[in-house]
Amino acid sequence: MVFSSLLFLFWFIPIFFGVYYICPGKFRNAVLFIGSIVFYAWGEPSYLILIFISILVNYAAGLLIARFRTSGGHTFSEKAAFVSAIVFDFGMLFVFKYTGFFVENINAIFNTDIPDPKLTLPLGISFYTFQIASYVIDLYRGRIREERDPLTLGTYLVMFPQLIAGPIVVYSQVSEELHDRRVSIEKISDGITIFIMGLASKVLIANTAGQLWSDLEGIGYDRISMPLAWLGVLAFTLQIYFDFNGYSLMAIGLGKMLGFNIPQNFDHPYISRSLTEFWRRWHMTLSGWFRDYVYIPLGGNRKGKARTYVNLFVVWFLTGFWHGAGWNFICWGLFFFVLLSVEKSFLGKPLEKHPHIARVYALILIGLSWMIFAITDFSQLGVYALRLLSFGSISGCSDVIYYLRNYGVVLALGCLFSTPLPGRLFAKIRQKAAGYAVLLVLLFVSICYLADEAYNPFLYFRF
Amino acid sequence: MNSKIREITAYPLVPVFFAVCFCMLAGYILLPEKDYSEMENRFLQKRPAVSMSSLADGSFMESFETYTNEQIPARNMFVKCKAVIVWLTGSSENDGIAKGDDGYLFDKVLATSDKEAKNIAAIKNFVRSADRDVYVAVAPTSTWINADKLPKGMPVLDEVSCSNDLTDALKDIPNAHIIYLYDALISHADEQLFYRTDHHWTTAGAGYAYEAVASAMGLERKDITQYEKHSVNDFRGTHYAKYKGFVSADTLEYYDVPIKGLALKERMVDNLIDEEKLSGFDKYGAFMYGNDGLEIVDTGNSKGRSLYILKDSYANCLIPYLVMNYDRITVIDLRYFGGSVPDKLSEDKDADVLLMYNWTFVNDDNHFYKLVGK
Repeated sequence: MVFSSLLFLFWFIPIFFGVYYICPGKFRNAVLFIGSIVFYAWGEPSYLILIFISILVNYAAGLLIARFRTSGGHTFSEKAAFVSAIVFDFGMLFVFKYTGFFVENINAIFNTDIPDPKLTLPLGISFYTFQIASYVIDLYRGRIREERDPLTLGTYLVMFPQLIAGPIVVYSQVSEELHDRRVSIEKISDGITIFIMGLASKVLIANTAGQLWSDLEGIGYDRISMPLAWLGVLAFTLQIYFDFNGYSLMAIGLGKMLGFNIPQNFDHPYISRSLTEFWRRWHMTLSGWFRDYVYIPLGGNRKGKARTYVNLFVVWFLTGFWHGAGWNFICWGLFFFVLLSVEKSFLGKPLEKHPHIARVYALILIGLSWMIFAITDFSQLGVYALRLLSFGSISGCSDVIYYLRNYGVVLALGCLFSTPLPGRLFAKIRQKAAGYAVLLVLLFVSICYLADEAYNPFLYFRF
Repeated sequence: MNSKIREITAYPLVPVFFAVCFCMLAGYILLPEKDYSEMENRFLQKRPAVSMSSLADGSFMESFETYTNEQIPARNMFVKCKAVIVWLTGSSENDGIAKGDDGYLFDKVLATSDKEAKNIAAIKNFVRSADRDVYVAVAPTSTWINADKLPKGMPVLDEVSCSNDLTDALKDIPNAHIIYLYDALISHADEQLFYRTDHHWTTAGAGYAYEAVASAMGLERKDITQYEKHSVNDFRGTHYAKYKGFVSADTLEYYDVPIKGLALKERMVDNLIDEEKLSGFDKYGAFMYGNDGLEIVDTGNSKGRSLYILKDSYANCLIPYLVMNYDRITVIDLRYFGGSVPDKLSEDKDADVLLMYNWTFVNDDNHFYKLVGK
């Protein structure tokens, strides 16, 4: 099930929240657990078993780690429990997400003929693996206490707001709320506000921008003019932000309606003045996870220059690979490794001095990075790159007029809503009639779009 | 209790939001389901029944989601509002249909589909193995004839290159005759040859196509205007069903061409027009009673000449013109035809054979393989 669907809005929300609010506090985890299972199974009944196994394995590992813990360092049994859980979690991710990729590449390199089992990716596995791993790792490091109630741990793993596409909520952030949370009408109102904003981002801006991008694929990159190719870069740049931020906002809003505080995932990434800054504002829970569970454990920047760059390489390789089992995603990650390294070594200072140039620099490179991300086939990527540089085709660019006319207003709105300005204006009317009117209009328009069943994919479901 | 109420009125969004969700849920449960959407000209999914197997394989969830989308209370209002909102953003396009000059709606076809090569090969094989002359008439689409009315820069399917592909494929086959209807129509492009709100050609457009077909096939050109002409107003066709924005309706015209009988799938009728459909939404469907696998027109003439026509829906309003030239017209629509085409054709070895398709059909239909049989 996806949030931006009539099914979720008019069947899941009234039934689930109706039951959730009526139930006394002590049953709410059970209601949330069952509701989340229904939510997940709606699209993916066959992989439900994986989730249950994952809950059991990590729950048992948690108990064992706590049991064998001594004050004088990690015992062998404790290490064994920890390592088994981590191997299981990432092993599952590896098997289901990367088998096809490795089989294909091994076949290509060694000229072998290993059959590809063609496993379909279990929905949300990239996200929930990282979440549950945070529990085991933090427990092993002694930062949190073990969870003795399997239902509570299960609820953490499956809770529907962030189960499928994040934000990646580490266990320590919500452990208190898992045991005791208060739902106030103020929080619910806040949650609904954020949910509607996310819904509108996704349905009104991301889907429309996405339609333009998918049209370019349909026309064929070799047949579009240079201006349309650049408009395509803008469209995809907006699509992926409003798609993913929209999903995150809906998750945060739903979390608040349940009584959880799910962390912010995006902070106006497109106003960044460097790529380093961009990654502090983009998918913050993922970069935070890699920082806390990969970069810093590897030594971060405390072990000398050379080691810092090696660590950065590892983090960006993994970040790219996490986004998809394909070479283009690895290249996309390494693109950021190179540019972040350049910024770290010498470009950072001059960029700080010229903020306007820095913004343009960052935006263009972000846009281009999305092309590596969006076009999974390298020869097609080459074709697209040529279109971006084909100055000779400007004369035959009437195609861009069509797309500017039909999508220009929405793209312009997308640009505007990528800046903090609309948010600041809205904050002034948030608790007033005008603010409520804006939200209800957005809700109404989103329903109209959903009723017409236009283009409605979720980009981050592939991960 | 009072403080609770005060709290709720301080946050009116909460009751309003949940009221909307609950009212819609109640609407789904209580309101009667609709079979068919007049405005969108299609059948709607009804609430599916639950079974263990449909739950396990996920098909229940899938149809339930479709049901939720298609049976949303006040669906027409929402869908209509969406079209208006899209229009307010300055867009000329909604659901893949773009509005050009003079109220013409156009289908946005991005590129040639990969089925085209297969379809052309099937036509080629069919013609090559045929025991007589085969005429292949290909209708252009409104997009090409009304190119001057297109929204500026709209992507279009390259029908010229498609037609070259077909010519190349058939050029060395002596019994193949291609009839280019593009040339026949373009010289009359100032008249209304296509409906503004539908993808089909008008009776006038089909008339010029008939002239080209008649001269290519050596038929005497008959005058249909000797019969009574009827006009039906308020026709909003297939393009409108997607676009749903502001457009003025078309007028559909037809002539009362007399025939002896038309054999449909399960009954005989005595005219070419299904008058019941003229009062509904799908008015073009009145021609030849819509599409069926096999329809046979007994024209009542005795000229000693009969015709097989393999066709899509474009032919439905061309057939009334051909009635005057033939004793019998056997109409085959591959989409619904279950038999073998070669067997059918061998029933009357002297009959003419005409393939009558429009370009989008040649480009992406899935049924041309049936031409050559299994």
